[in-house]
Amino acid sequence: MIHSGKLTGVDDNLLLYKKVTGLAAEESSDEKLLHELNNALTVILGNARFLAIKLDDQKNYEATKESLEKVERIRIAAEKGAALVSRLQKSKSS
Amino acid sequence: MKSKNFILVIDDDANVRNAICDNLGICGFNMIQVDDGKKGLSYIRSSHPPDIVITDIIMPGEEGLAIIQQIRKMKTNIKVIAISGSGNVLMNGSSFLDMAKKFGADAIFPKPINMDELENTVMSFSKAMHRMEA
Repeated sequence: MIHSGKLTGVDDNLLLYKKVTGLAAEESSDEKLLHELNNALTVILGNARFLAIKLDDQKNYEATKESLEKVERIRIAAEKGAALVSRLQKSKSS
Repeated sequence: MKSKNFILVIDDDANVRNAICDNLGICGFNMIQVDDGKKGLSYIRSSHPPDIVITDIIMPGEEGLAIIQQIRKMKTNIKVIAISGSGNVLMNGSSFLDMAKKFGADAIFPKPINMDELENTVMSFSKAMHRMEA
């Protein structure tokens, strides 16, 4: 039973849970690869953001400015990678 | 009023957990991380449970949906954020994250996670909790 967008029946939840976990186990090798790529991109983007925040505190120094530019390049490349993975996942789902 | 919320991150990928903890940690949140759902549930059921749980959906052992279900059965005010890198769409057209929402997740994030949006969501949950306690 779905009430206000949330499942309320325990039996329904269990049934859906079994369906979902079954499908997770059946992910194709391509889907698993895309899944892993999204994990890797989370790590790249997350670390680039963290470094940018930390480096921003010292942006008066020339070396730090250069590092910030490099971090920005990493971020842009990873964003492009994320868009490509999303396109691949959508084309596999359709 | 509690000054800093306690956030539990559950993900089997250590680098993903670290990236989340680093980015939310610089906002002043108390972060703790575990690599599977069983360890996560033991924190959730402890005498000092987290205020916010960020959980992956597809993990070996106890999966994210089961964790969300357990939290909702406990009738606590713990906020749950589900994350997933799977683009799988189920037969009914729902994704794993759609399912997480139906199971009771308060927010959902596809991977790669937009850390700015995650931070904003966590901040808004934190502010709402502090308003309730005041």
